[in-house]
Amino acid sequence: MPPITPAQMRVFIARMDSVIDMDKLQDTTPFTEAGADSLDFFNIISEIQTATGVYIEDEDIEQVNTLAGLVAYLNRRMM
Amino acid sequence: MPSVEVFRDEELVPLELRLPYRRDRNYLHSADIFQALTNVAQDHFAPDAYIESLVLRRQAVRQIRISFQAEAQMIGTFGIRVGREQVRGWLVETDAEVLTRVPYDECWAVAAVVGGPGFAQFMEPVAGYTAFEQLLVLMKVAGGQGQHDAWLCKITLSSPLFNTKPLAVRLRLRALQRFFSFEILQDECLLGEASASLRS
Repeated sequence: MPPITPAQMRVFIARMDSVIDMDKLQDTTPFTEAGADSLDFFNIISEIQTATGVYIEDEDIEQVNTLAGLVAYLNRRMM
Repeated sequence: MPSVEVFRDEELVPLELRLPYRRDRNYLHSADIFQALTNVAQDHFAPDAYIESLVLRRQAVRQIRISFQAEAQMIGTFGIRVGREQVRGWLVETDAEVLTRVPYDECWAVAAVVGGPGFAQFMEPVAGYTAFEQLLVLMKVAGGQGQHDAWLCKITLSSPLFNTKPLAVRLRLRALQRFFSFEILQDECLLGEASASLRS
């Protein structure tokens, strides 16, 4: 499976029912700074698990609080 | 029968809900919100319309207005399935106080649950409770939070939630130390998913 790109993840997140301001969400912008609340973060984790089978552990949450971090984490886990 | 477009033109006006608190809660119960939305769906759109999704981003302590226009200060969103169409709406908390309180006791439903953390079901529908109320009880048991406060934050359904057959839920995901996600099963078929949050 080819690596996921931040652009693909952006599309994936944009399709979710969230309060994230996608215009503010750059690759290294923390999701919370783009307006995400805890429910949005949970939904991202949940949808990613459904789509990829990868479960993001609670202790890894700090690694995935940006688009770039989330993509890097997933690509490591799916290697 | 008028088309969905006719309904949409004439009926997409804001609606003020008048809901009570339940028992000792000081926030609106998701079951009351869900039922009110179901009534709106069936009264304003089609008799067989149903709530396909409901997202509650926080608990509402005052009355709610249903809006069919995007609202920046919304506390939640919902989707109504009308045949092949979906009508999207927003929930906005108003300044109107909640003036009534109704009794509500889950104990009879809790006593009828079979299972525990991870999976919970009813062997038959529980009289005196709506399907949605039964679902919430199952989620608390399957999430291992039966004694703790938890509130529904999201539900998505692929078909209406009827009370004709017993429900079951299976814990699918637990994350961020406060969210739980469940699969909703009825007659061994996957009906949808629901998520709950522990009160922070």
